[in-house]
Amino acid sequence: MEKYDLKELVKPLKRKLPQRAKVHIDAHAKMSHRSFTSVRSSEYMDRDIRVETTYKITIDGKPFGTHVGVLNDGRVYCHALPQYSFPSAIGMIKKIIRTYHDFDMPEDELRKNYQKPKTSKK
Amino acid sequence: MPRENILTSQTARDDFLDGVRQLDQESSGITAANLFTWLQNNGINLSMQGVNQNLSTYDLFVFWHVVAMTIPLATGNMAHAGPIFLPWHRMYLIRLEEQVRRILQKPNFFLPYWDWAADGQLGEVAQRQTQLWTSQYLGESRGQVASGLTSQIQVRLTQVNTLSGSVLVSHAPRNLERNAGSDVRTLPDKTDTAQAMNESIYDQAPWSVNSSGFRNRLEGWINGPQLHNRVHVWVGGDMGPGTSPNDPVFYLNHCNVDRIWEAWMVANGRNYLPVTPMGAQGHRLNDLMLSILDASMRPSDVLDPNPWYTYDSLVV
Repeated sequence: MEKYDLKELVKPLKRKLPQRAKVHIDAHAKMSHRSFTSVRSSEYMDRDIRVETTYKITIDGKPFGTHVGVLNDGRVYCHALPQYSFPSAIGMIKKIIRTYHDFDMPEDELRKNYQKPKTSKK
Repeated sequence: MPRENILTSQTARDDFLDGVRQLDQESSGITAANLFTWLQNNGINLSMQGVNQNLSTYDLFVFWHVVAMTIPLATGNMAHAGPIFLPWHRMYLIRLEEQVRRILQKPNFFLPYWDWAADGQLGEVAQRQTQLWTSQYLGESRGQVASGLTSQIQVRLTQVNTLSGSVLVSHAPRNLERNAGSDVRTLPDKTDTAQAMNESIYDQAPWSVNSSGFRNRLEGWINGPQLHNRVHVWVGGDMGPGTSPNDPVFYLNHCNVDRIWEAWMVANGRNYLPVTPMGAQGHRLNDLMLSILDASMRPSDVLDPNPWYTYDSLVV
């Protein structure tokens, strides 16, 4: 087994990207209003139950942009803390603020040196 | 040789700790700018920013996990919150095991596991004071990891959350951090694993965090956080965000999760759901699983782990 180089890192995923990219764009479109809707459903005594829950969260008036969902038991979860679930959305946002507010964000060196690949004209 | 309990096999412990340390010190030849370019050019919606720096082979595993977590499917993502959770992590562990073998030049190396349900039988305070959290094993359970081989692991990539969403940050190297027993006070225990083992179906519709069945119980969403999820939450610190493979305890946790899955399959048959063509795309028996390090596998490829490894015990 040899060490990996970048070519090896890129190759397998590239083959799969067109299909994944579509899924991704759809998800992004839903998130554009910064609200997240979860649908829970269940069958009970031959009846179909459907519960739609929409969260629109702001912090200091600014929209919170990370996906929020609801579990069948009513607990909420968020991709910011991927293994957690909380009895209340307020409690969840407090935990997210506590977790990340001390993070010292370094100056960005990655975007400024990035060059978009040239697209070939047909 | 099988995969063994890290608390009972000194050889497995020493090789694992040395192996991950060496992988973290080995330059992969890939920089943070390379990964940024790769994300941009492939249209993956993972924000990344920070310093440009050389990354280690170990960092590439961290990156792989974040990417898999970032790409959404109809339910869950490419590694979590659906049936794919168990086979994807089995593939991921196999790849790390191969890398440790390479760097140690020990073809008979096998990942150890942490039987956290055994520790879950202890009292609340005793759980974070076991041998595992000493300098001979993983170092401190709370605060900065400053003792033992794990103190030499350097964290260079951390996923953080800003108002606008999650960002993968490349930052100056720092030590690992933990906060054991703070967000949940106790580990899962044997009663919890027994409940999972009593599930007779692997998974079922809607194939998500809201499913009944073995996978969702073991992943830890039912009355959560439980089992796998609870171990992440219990350790805390760097085990919280999508960059959780920064902490070597990630691999010990997942090796035990994999062992529980194996025990379940020995008892219930190597039954996986959904089977093509029914079920959620990306989670089905013959769907390719996301791999950016070496070839992709399908769940059907890894249902039987015997070509790669066995376990010393399936008592969970």
